[in-house]
Parts: sequence; structure tokens; C-alpha cells
Amino acid sequence: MLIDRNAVTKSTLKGKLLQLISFSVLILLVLASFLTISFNSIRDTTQDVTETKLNQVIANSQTAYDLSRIFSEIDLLSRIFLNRRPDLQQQANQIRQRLFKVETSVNDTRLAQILKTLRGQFDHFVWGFVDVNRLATEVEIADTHIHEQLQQLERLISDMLIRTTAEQQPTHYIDQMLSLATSYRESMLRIRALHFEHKGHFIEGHQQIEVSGNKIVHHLDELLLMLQTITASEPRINNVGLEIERLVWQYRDASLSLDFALAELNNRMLDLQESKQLSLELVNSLQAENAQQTELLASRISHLISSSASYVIAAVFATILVLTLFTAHIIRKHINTPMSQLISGIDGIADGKQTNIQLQREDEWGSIADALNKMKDELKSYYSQIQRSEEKYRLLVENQSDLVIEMDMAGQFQFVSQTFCQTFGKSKDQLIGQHFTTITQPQDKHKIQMHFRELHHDPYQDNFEQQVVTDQGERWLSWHNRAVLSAAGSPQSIIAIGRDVTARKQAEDALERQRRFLRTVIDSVTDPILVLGRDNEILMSNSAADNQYGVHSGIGLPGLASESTPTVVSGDQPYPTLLSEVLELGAPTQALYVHKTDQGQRHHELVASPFEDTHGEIGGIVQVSRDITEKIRSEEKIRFLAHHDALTHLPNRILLRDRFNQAIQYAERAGQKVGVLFLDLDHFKDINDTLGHHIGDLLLKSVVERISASIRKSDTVSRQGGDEFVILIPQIGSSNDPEQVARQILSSMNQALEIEGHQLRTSFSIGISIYPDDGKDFDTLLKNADTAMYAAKKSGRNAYHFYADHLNDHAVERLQINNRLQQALSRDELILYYQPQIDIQSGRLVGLEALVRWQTEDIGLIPPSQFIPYAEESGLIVEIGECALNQACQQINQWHHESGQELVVCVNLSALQLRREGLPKTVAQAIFNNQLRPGQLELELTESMLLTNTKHALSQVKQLKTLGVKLSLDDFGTGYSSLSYLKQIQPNRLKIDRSFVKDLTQDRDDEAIVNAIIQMAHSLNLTVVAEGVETQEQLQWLKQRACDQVQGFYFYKPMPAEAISELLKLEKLSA
Amino acid sequence: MNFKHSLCYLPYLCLALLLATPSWASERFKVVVVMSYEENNPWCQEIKQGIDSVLADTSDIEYIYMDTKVNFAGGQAKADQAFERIKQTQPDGIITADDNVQKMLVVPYLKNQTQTPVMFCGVNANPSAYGYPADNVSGILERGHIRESIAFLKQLKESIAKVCFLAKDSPSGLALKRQVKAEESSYLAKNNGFYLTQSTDQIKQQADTLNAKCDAIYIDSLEGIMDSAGNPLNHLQVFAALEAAYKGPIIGANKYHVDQGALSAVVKTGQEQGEEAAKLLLKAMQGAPVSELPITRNFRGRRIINITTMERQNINPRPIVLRSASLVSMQK
Repeated sequence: MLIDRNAVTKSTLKGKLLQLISFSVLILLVLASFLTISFNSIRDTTQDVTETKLNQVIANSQTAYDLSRIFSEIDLLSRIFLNRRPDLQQQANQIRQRLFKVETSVNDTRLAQILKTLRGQFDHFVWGFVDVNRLATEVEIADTHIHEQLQQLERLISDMLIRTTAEQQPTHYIDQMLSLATSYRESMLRIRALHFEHKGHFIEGHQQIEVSGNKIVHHLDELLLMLQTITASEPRINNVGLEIERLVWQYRDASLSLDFALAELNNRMLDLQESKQLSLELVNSLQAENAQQTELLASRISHLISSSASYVIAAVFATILVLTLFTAHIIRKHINTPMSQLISGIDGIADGKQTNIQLQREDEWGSIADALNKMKDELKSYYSQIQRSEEKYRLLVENQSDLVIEMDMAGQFQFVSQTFCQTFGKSKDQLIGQHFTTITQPQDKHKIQMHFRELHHDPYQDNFEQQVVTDQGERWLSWHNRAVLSAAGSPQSIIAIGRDVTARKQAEDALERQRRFLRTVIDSVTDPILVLGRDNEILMSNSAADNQYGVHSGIGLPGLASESTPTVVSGDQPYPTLLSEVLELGAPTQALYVHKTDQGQRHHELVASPFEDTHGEIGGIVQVSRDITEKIRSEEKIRFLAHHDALTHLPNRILLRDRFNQAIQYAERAGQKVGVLFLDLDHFKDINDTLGHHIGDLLLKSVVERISASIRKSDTVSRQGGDEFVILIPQIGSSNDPEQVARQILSSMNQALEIEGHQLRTSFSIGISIYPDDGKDFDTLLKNADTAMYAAKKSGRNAYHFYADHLNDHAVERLQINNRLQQALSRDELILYYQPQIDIQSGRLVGLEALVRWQTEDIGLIPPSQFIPYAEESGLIVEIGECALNQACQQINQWHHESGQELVVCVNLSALQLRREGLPKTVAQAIFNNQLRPGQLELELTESMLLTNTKHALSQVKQLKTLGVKLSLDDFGTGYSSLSYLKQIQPNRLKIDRSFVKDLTQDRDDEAIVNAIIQMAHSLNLTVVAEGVETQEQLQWLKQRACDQVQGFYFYKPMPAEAISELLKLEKLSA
Repeated sequence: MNFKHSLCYLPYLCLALLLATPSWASERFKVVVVMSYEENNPWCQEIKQGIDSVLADTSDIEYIYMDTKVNFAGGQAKADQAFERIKQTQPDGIITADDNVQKMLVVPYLKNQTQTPVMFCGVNANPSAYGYPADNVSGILERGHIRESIAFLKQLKESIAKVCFLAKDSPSGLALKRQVKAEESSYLAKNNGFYLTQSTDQIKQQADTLNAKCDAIYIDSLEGIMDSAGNPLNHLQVFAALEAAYKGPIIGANKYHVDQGALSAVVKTGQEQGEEAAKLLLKAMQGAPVSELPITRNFRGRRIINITTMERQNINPRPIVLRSASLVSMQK
């Protein structure tokens, strides 16, 4: 039903409300006009007060406050400006700006004029204090410099004093200089004190400052006068004095200027003070006037406000009353009555009554009643259609093979299909109202709830699979769920359709197990394996491949090259594959490549085979990569070690031989010669024995560096083992003559080698053989160079020697003797003879010297001079020495048991024995094993033994002394005869060498020497033994010179132990 | 000498090492010192002290005095004798003190005529006047601390504004005059006259002038001027005559001036002259070429005050002035 809205406007609810609003507006307009008039009156009055009088009061107060603050800051500034704080200038600027601001803000012209004057005075004050601070700084800088120069002066004088005193020269002058410098310092300290006192006075009360030649200047003048005399000094002091004088003048000028500046500043501050006082007085008088006017205005405003308030309250009450009455009338007639009629009609429709709502009005209420009647008729028609549709869908759901359920949003079943009931073996009644989780296994509950939550928002649908327990056992169900939305778009319920997918799940499980097995197998292979498709995509890779290439199956292929395999790849290049080769060949293939990385280069071997796809075509390749770096390195190392020495990395004998063969082939063609140098490091064995093999090895490496620096690149240095090296000179020429090379090497060894803090000196013995003169094959030349080297060693070491034929004979002899000596030791062919030592006064036997002899079956007795040198050369001397020591100790013990006598037996030590570690232990063992008293054994040393590695040798000797064995110094006078050794060794006996005794009574020089040795020994409380006494004359001469003991053929030759036993018996009988 | 023969000295060597006496240290130099003046001249005595303090341990020193203060005319004969003695003794080095000996001995006989190093001291004249330095001659010049002495006097008596100078009319006096002329602008008191004198009579004649013009007098090299009878006087005698004529403070150049009555001085010392000359000579004798030993001068000025004179002049200086000075009382 259409309603003519224009026709009903005046009689409608809207019209009534418009009338009410119009009336209210009118009333409010009247009220507002009245209020406006009242408030305008108040405003005018207030404005008059605030804009004129009150503003003046406030402005004057503000001015007074600002000025007070500024003046107190000025006062503060005047007190602290001498502190020279960096921010003072900034503070002054701020004060000035504020002063200017106040000056421009005041209305009173008299005050403005005074403030302008004050601002000018303040500017003068600030300039004044800047000036004062600058001058004070100058004074203090000069002061600091003067004190520095005084310090310099004192230092110079002190140095002179120390030097002169050390030279034992008189120091009067320097003492006086020191006093003078002290006077200067005292004066300066006094001046400094006065300066600070002066400043302090100013800060405390600047009005007292006056310009004068103050005390400071007076003291400065005195100091300047004193400084005039320091120029009578040495130039250095004079210069310092002149500098001090210059600085004092500088100080004086600055100090005077400072005085003037302070006085000026004081005047400015007084002016400033006066202006401050004036301005404050004027501000105070202005404030008093303003206060009086303000009181009058306050009274007027108060009266106006109280009268206006009464009128406003009356008008408001009248308005409220009229509006209330009019509003009550409209509500009753146009709202309450029609609304109760309409509600009654709606209740009838809800109860199913088909009667229309009867409301006879032409306003909005009538239109609503018509619309409700029409809606009632349409609802009836829709309900019939819905009942038919519901029946149709129910039949469809019930006959579905899938499971269909409907749940509320909490998951409770509202509907279940027949199939669902059959699957779970329950009736609908049993299931309706149950929660979905009742058919869910406990472990899936959380997951299912998560899926349901997904249905609360867009897209309001979700799928999941779950394993459930049904009447047929465990089954897999696949659910498709969808939320049913309300008209407002919010989810109301859930429709879920489930399907049994148990068969598919079982098939998938079987496939996964197989896949895992294959993955385990392929991952267990340590070499990277890649399965690549035709398009170079990675179809599969094992863990090793993932690690190496950083890629995974199915992921893109940025790191793999699809083109032909490169032989070398660097870090940022793609890894090579054999895909293109295999696709081209259609058969397996392999390749090698080198991968360069920051950590070095790695060698890889690639093997690739094709595989077929489902169509029988090549689907791609299976590629296996293997890192063969270590294998290659091992092979290279083996190859290197086969031809080089492991310690020095020099060519070994095999490589040397090869190069030698090449060299002689060339030499034959060119008619040239080839040189072979055999080098042996002197005393290397000693270094090894005393400092250990580690130092020995380092020494060898250092030695190799020096050798290498002495030869050409075309020459070959080879280590033959131990301390032996061979140099091959392929083409002998003028620049590389073997002799020259040998000299260079010997020269290069002049400098000590520093090995881990040890300063080691060593040298070479070098033997040289020349192809073809000294041999035509490698072995012969090497042997001959070796022989020549021995000749060099024998000539005193640190030498070179060319091979000559006769050397070979000597080498053969040396070798034979060494071999036989070895045998002699094992066969006990080395025996001891003993030569008695006689007390020169009593003629009695006091000791025996043990002397080693070699008793051979074929030759007979060999004297020591014929085999000891070889034994020393080969090192066998150590074993021979130990053998002699043990034999002697056994013999002492035997004699002691036979004769009861405690004889002292001397055993000679060799230099090598002394250098080797463990000699004291060997001696102690021999004494202990034979139950000797240590004093029965005397060890004979020679001085030359102590010359090499003195520290170690002396240490060994001291340990022997500690054991209690006696020591004698043999051959005294033939060597270095160092008294310092005598002091350190502290031997019991000194033995005069037989060479001096031999010509006694004939050679005056020998007499002098022997005489001197006896006297010196006695002065050191040593017993003297003369060796080699063979004549009565010699004996008499020695007796006259008070020699203590003698030994020689005059009494006894060296004898076997048995003969000594007989002798001892005779001695005992004659005692 | 065979090996065995060489060994026969071994025990002696050993014993010598035990005694460890440095035999090379016993070598001593022969040095001749020729002084221009007489042996009892205080300046000569100071120089001798300086030389002895340096050379006594290492050298045998022979001193020869030419007495030219008291007998200038006989100076050349003395110089000839000294040269004869030098030829006789063949010294390793020679020291010559003051100007007269340079003129009479070094220049005619020694300069560039021998290898023997000659070191001079106490020379007031410009060294070029004697042709120094020469191949074998170097040494130390003598320069008075005039400026400092005047400044020192002002410390004692601030009112001093005009100073006069008095010296014997001699090469030394003339050298002093040249020095004053060259440096007077730096003095703290005005140079109000330089007087060269031959006798005490002249001093007496100038007494009124001196008293009127001079707030103080600086003296040097006055020994040897004549008395009324024509006898040369020593410094003590000259000073007595001066003190009788002039009433104001007298300041000196040498220590003995103050010892003998001058109020104060920043003195040059004969010890410094002698020490420096001796040090230079020692270096030369030890092998340093003379050409590498440049001519030097005295530097060390000692502040000395005669307190007897100070009291007599009624001067009361501040203690700080006294503390940095040596104080002497009048010689008896």
C-alpha cells in the first residue's frame, strides 16, 4: 500500500517533532540573545582590565623579575669570570640578549633608556673580563714555560755535577750554579704565589684594585737582575738562562697589562652596579602605581558578574517548563497508542492467526501495519517449498556410500547418515548428540580439533584423513568438511563427507618403506652420487652429494655444469657433470678434474652411467664422484721420497746417481769434466750426543741452506745419510771450479749457526774427485771423494782435499783397522799394562798408570799409537775407554785382595768419553761393581779435552769429583796450560809431559819449564808427577827441584798385571 | 823460535796473569808549561792548579815562568831559555799561559815549526793576532764576565747606573777595552769611561774624575803598573792605591781581585783556563790531531762577594743574592 507522504506531513509524527524542534529553537534563540548581551558587557569590562591595566602590572612584574635575574647572573659572572670557564662568554652573550629583550619590552621610556645604558656598560664589562682572562692566561703560560726552563737548567747542572764528581774534579762552581738555579726557582714560586694572591684579592673585592708597579713586577725585576749573571756559564746553560730571561720579560709585560686590565674592569663593574641600582628603583615605582589601579578594576568586574547571573537563571527555568509540557503531549498521542496496537497484531501472526492487523491511521504507523500483513502471506508460501526440498535431500544422503554427518560448530553430531551408522555399528539415536571425538583415536584428537578450527574462517572448508576403529577393524577415512554459513555469513554447522581410503593408504605405506630402504643404501655410500635427468635436474642425490654440492634432489641446478667436463674448476665455477658425454655416447664414461678451493685443490674422479625411463629411452645419468686427492698425494709423496731425503728434502743417492749419469753423458759429448764433492760435517756426532737429535736435525737443515747458497742452481746437493752430503758439479768451468765451491762452503760456515738458542760452530771436511780423472763411474768417484774427505778430516778438519791414489791405500788401512778393532773388543784382545809411579824421596811405589795394549794373534802386541787415532776417528775410543776402566777397576780389586794394599791406579780418559753423556755414571758403576774406594781410582785428563764444549766437559768433571775419584792433569805444559782450568778442575796431581823431561840437564828451556811447573803446582798444593824419567841425571835433577813423583823406564816399563802382582809382593816384603 | 822455546815463557806468563798488573798504564807524558808571569802571581797559581788537576796523574810537568808582569823587558830572554829547555827535554806537549808567552815563544819558535802540540790559555787578544789556530796550536781564550759582574753588582746595590773601567795600559788591557767596546750595549749600567793606566800616580790624578763620574769601577790586569819610584806593583799593592783614591765599590774580574778587596765579581778562573788547556793537550798527546781540537773560551763565571768590603761599603743585599754566591773575607 502506497502512502501519500506529502499529504500527511503535517499530521505525521515527523511533523509533530518538527514543530517541537522549531519551538525549542525559538526559545533557545531568545535565551542566547539575552546571555550574549550580558556576557558582552562582562567581556568589555574584563577586556578593559586585562588589556590595559592588568597587563601593565604583569609586564612591570615580569620586567622586575627579569632584571633581578639578569642582575644576579651579572653578579655571579663578575665573581667567576676569573675561572676562565669556556662557557662564560656564551653565558655573557645570553645575559646580553636577555637584557636587550627586557629593554625592548618595557613601555616606560625612562626605564628603556637606563637599560640601554646598562647594556652598553655590560658589554664593556664583558670585553674587560675577556681581556683580563687573556692576560691572566698569558701570565700563567709564561709561568709554566719559565718553570719548564728552570727544570731544564737544574737538569743540566745536575748532569754537570755528576760528571764532575765522577771525574773527581772540584765542584764549587757547579754547587754555586745549583744555588743560583734554586734562587731562580724560589723567586718564581714567590711570584706565582703573588699572582694568585693578586687574583684572589680581585675576586674577593675588586673595588680595592689599583694600578701600580705591584709587588710581582718588583720581584720579576729582581729575578731579571739575577738572571744577568747566568750567562757566565757553558753555552748550554747560557742558552737556557737567556730563554728564562726572555720568558720573565714576557711574564712581566703580561703581568703589568693584567694589572691595568683589572683596574679598568673594576671601573666598569662600578658603573654597571650604579645603572643596575637605578633601573631597579624605577621598576619598583612603576609597580606601585599599577597595583593601585588594579584594585579598582577588580571591584568593577565583581559587581557586573553577580547581576548578570540572576537574569540568566530565570530565563533558563522558564524555557525548561514550556518544552516539557509540549513534549509530553506528542509522545502520548503519536507514539504510545499506535505502537501498542501494532504489537498486538504481530503477536497474532506469530500465533499462526491469519487475520490482518487493523490500524486505521494515515501516518507511518499505518504503513507498517500494511507491510506486516503482506509479509505474513509470503512466509506461508516459502514454508511449503522448504518441506519438499528437505525430503528430497534426506533420501539422497541416506543412499550415499560415503559417510555423511552434520555437526554443530562444537563438533556434536546433529545428523548422521545410514552408512556412518553401519560403519561404526551404532544407531542414529546413539550417535546424535555425541561428539566427533568419540569416533576418533586419542592420539588424533588434537589434530582433529585443529582441523575443525579451520572451518571457522574463510574458505570454511578443510580435508583430513584419520584412522578409526570400526566394526570391520582399523580403517582409514578421508574427510571433506564444509561449514554451513548463516545469512550473516557466520558458520552455523559443519557438513562432513567421509570416504574409506584404507586400501590406498596401505599401498602408500609399502611404497614409503621401499623408498626409505633405498635412501639408506645410497646415503651409506661415502662418494657423492647424483641421479640427473636429461635436463640436468637432480632427480636424486645421496648425503655425500648434498654435502659436497650443497644441492638436494628435485631442487634447481645452479651448481652443476651441463656442458663438457672441465679439467679444472675453481671455487665459484659449477661442478662438472658427465651428462652431455653420456647422452652423446649412450654408454658409461668417466673423467678426472681438479677442484680449486680456498683450502687448496682437490682431485676428483667422475664415473657416470645412463639409466632408462619408462619409455626405454635414456632418462638421465647416475654419476658417482670420488675424491682421490689423498691417493694422488700419497703417490706423489712416495715418488718424492723415493728420490729425496726425508729430513732435508735433498736428492738422495738414487736421484744423484741419475743426475750423475746425465752429467757424464753431457760431459762426454762436450769434452768437459764433472766434479764430485763429498762433505762431512765435523763434530756433528758430538752435537747429536750432547744436544740431542732434534738439534742435530735442525743443524743439518741450516747447513743445507748454507751449502745451497754456495752453489749454482745446476749443481746438485744430495744427502747421503747422517752428516754426509755430496755435491755434483755437472760442468766444471771457471766460475764453478770444485775447489772454489769447496772454499765458498767452508767460508759460509765461518758464522755460527743459531739453533734454538744454541750458538753452534761447525765446519766441513770436503773430499773432491773429478770425472774422468779419478774414476769413470758414479760409485768409484763417490768412494774416492769419500777417501779424499777423510784425508781432509785427518789434516785437521775444516778443509778440503782432492783425491789422490795414495789416499785410497790409507782408506783401506783405516777400514781394516776399524774392523779389526771391533773384533778385538769382542775377542777381549785389548789388555791393560801398568806402569808404576814412584815417590821420588822414598823410592816406593805409590801408584800405577793403566795403559791399553792390543794383543793380536798374528801381529803380536800393537802399541796404542798405531790404533788409538783410528779408534778416536771412528768413535770406538769410547768403548775402548770403558773397557780399560772396567779392567782397571777389576785389577785394583784383585790386587787389594792379594796384597792388602790400596793402590791408586790412573786410567786415561779420551776427549770423546768426556763429551758423551753418562761418563760419571759409568765410572760410578765400575767402582761399585768392584767394591772400590773411589780414591783408589784416578782419571787422567788433558787440557785439550776441555777446549771443546767446555761447559759440558767441566760439568762432567765436577760430577766425577763429587764421586770422590781423583783427577790428574796429563801432559801439562804442552797445550794451553790455562790456569783457569786448573782452578776449575782442581786436580790432585799434575803430570809433566815426557817431552820436557827428556832433555832435562841438557836443554835450559826445558829445565826452566819443568822448574816453573813444579813451583806453580806446589804453590797450588798439587802433587807433581814427572813422566818419561829414563836416566839417573833426570831423576837427580827432579829430586833437587822437589818433584814429588816420577814415572818412566828408569824405574819400570809398563808391565802386565801379573808382573805388577809380583812387584807388589816384593814391595810388601821390603816394607 | 821453535814451539818448545816458546813454551819456556809460559810459566812466567802464567804468573804474570796471576798478578794481573796493567804494565801499559805506567807510560807517562812529558809536559812543559810556560807561564807569562811570575810563579807567585795568583793568576798563574790558579792556572797551575787547573793543569795539575788534569795532568798530574798521567804526566810529568815542568813549569817555566817568564815573569813578564814584573820584568816585561826580560820576557824575550826568558822565552829563549824556555825554548832551549823545550828542545832539551823534547816534551810530548806544551801549555803556554797568557798573551806574552804567545808573542815571545809560541809565534817565533813553536807555531807550525814542530809536531809537538801546543795549547794556550789565558789569551785575551783575538787569536788571529797570533795566527791561531795553527797546525800544532790550539787552546782556550780568556774573556772576562764583565756584563755579568755589573749585573751582579746591581743585585748588591741597585742604584748603580754608571760604571767605569780601569786596566793597565798593556796588550791585555787593550784587549779588555776592545771587549768592553763590543759588548757595552748589553751592560746594565752605562760605560762612563775606560781608563788605561801605567802608574799609581795616574790613578791618583784621576781620582776626582773617577769619584765624580763612576758609581763603580771594574778593574782587570792592573798588576805590573809602576809606583812613584818606578817599581812594578803586584795586584794587592795596586788595589791599595786605588782604594785610597776611589771610595765607591770596585769590582774585579778574577777571584784574587775579590780576595784582595774588590767588592764582588763574576770571576773567570785560572783553574778553568788551566783545566781546559790541559784537557785539550791530553787529547792531543793521546793521538787526537790538533786540527780537530778547536779553540774555545772560558764559560764558567763564579759569583764572589767580599763581605769585608760589603760591610765597609754599607751594603745589605737580600739573602737570596748571598746564597748563590761564594763569600770571602779580606785576605790577611
